[in-house]
Amino acid sequence: MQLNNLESAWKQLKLMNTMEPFDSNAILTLLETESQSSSKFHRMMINLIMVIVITIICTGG
Amino acid sequence: MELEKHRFLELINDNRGIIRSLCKIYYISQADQEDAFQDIVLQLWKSMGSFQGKSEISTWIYRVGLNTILSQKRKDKKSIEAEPIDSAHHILQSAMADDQLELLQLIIRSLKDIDKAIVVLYLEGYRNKEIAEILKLSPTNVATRFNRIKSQLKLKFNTSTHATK
Repeated sequence: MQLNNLESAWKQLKLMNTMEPFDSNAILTLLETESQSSSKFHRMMINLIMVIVITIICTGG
Repeated sequence: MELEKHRFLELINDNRGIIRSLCKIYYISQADQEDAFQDIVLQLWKSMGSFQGKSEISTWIYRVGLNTILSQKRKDKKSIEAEPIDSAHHILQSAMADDQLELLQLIIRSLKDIDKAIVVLYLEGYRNKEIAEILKLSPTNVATRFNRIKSQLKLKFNTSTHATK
C-alpha cells in the first residue's frame, strides 16, 4: 500500500471540514474568558507578593 | 487589540479545515473534538505573538495543533491509539461513503498518537526533517518510526484485505 495515494483523501477531508460552520462569537467568548482569567491570576499574584512584602516589613525582617 | 482579534478570527476561519481535521482524527466524540478545537485555538492565540513568520502559517498551525493534542493526550489518556482495525472499520463504515477517505481514516485511527501526526504531516508534503522539527523529535526517530509505520500498515492492510476476500 502506498501512503502517497492517500494525499488526495487528506485534502478532501480538510475540505469537508472547512465546510463546517464557523462560529466566530464562540471563539471571541473563548478569548475573552481566557484574558479575564489570565488577568485575575496576575492580580492575585501581585496581591500575594504585596502581602509577603508587607508581612516582612511589619515583622522587621 | 480588536484588530488583532479580528485578524486572529480570519486566520482561524481560513485554516479551520486543518484544525478540525486534526481534532477528528484524534477524537471520536463530538464533545472531545470540540474541546480539542478550543484548546488549539487558545494555544494559537497565546503563541501568536511568538510567531515570527519564518515558516508558513499552516506549518505553525500544524505545530501548535499537533503538539497541543499530543500533550493533552499524554495528560488525560483518552487515547484511541492502536484501535483494532476491525472496530475502526466498523465505526467508519457508517460514517463515510468515499473509499479513499474511509481508508485514510481507517489507517490513521489504527495508529499510535505520535504516528498519526507523522502520517498526517507526510500527507501534507513535509519531509522527515520538517516533521521532526514540528513534532520536536529527532530526524532519525522520525525516519525509524516512519519505516515502522509503513511496514505495520502494509501488514495490517494486506491482512485486512485478505480477510475480507
